[in-house]
Amino acid sequence: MSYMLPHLENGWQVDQAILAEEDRVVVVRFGHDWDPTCMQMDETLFKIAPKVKNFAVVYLVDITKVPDFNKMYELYDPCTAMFFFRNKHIMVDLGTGNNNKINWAVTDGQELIDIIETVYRGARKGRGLVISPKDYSTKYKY
Amino acid sequence: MPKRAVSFADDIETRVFKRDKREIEDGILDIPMEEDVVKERPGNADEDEEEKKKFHTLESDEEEEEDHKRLDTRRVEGQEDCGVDFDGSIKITAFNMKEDEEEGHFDETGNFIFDKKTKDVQDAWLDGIDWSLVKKKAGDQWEGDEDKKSLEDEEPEPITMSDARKKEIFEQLVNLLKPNQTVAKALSELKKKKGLSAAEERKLRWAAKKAGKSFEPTDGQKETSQLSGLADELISAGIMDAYEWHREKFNFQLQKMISTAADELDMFSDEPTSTGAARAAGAPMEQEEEEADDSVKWEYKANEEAKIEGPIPTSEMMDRQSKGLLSAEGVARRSGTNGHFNPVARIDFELYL
Repeated sequence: MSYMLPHLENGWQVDQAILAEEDRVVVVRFGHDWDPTCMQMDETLFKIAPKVKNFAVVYLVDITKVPDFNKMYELYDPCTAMFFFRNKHIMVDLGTGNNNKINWAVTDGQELIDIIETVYRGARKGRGLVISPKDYSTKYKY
Repeated sequence: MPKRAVSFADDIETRVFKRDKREIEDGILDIPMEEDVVKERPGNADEDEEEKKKFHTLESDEEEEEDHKRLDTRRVEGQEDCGVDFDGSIKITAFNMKEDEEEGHFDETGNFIFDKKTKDVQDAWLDGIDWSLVKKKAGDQWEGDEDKKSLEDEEPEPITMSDARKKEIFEQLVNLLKPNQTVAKALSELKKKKGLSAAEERKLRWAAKKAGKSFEPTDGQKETSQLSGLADELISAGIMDAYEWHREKFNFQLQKMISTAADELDMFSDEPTSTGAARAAGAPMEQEEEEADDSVKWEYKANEEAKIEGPIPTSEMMDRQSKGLLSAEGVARRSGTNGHFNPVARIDFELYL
């Protein structure tokens, strides 16, 4: 479903996408369209994008075409989703120990909506870290 | 103030004082006595300034009084200058205190004291703290600007708007706005309709002024000022997001006020009042608007098998949470979502207020 979501083709576009959005959460999925994990994630993102369009916008970034952020955000997972609000990275306590990003595929749309909504509500209140309603520590195994 | 502008270059001084004299003669400026004194004896002013400089040198301003004596490290024996900075890839630390002294100094007993930081430490977490909430939560425990608080208490309280006035404003706004239109949207639409940029409007106004006519505001402008005036009044009354409210929300608030007023008045009357009937008719609509009203409600279970409680308003959930009335295995979900129940421990109810 990745072809239905907007892609960002270079570093400048990514920066602008994050900078320009004034009152919506920017969800950026870093990865590859052909990656199975990303495919699952994109499927979910595509499903929820219209539902969250009032408070969030979703972009996809190919980390091979746009390697600018790989080092800074430590993008070595097949699929990474990060949240930004007003040019600020918003951390999410997912229970996994990594609050910076979601580095697996969320398959349940409602869960992802809940996370994004929490991010949105928290970020609007000036939080840099929000707690995801669901604890992923048990589900996500290394 | 001419006095502050005094420069001790001769030509400037005379010019300044000349102007003073003329202005005094013309009676244009009310120059305080002080100035006159300066004018009479400019030489003395020079001396005074000199004297001041003696006491207020740059150094005497900046130097802070210290309660200890500094150790003069130059007198400490055994220090060696650094010959080489690196031996291959290994960094050599010289046997002296030069590096340390960039950041602080020693007192006479040999304790190292860091200099006060000139640059503020930036900290994302610290910047992110919402102090108003911290203070609110701390309540009486909050120490500090106690004096300030008592002063503030004496100041007149912020103007609270009477319900009658509020109702009036709501009514007017409901009339002015189109369905599903916020005040901000209405304003921008009016601006578009006018088709004039601010600069063009200013030009028009200026032209009218030149021609000796008063610039007649068009209907649109009147409406604009009326709308923004009403919204501003609401903002100063504490409804900070008045510009973002929809017509429906104003209407909803209006109906609520009318109905509560009716309840208070006709509490014991048997006849159903007209507003009561309207309320009954508009009940389902009201329900809808309540959702739009951001008032999130929750369904709560003490544990996975327990019966669903609720819907419980967010404020009550917050209250229960802070009092520890929610069980550790308690789960909750937003009412109306039919989604999963999530552990209450992970839900920050404050976000949903």
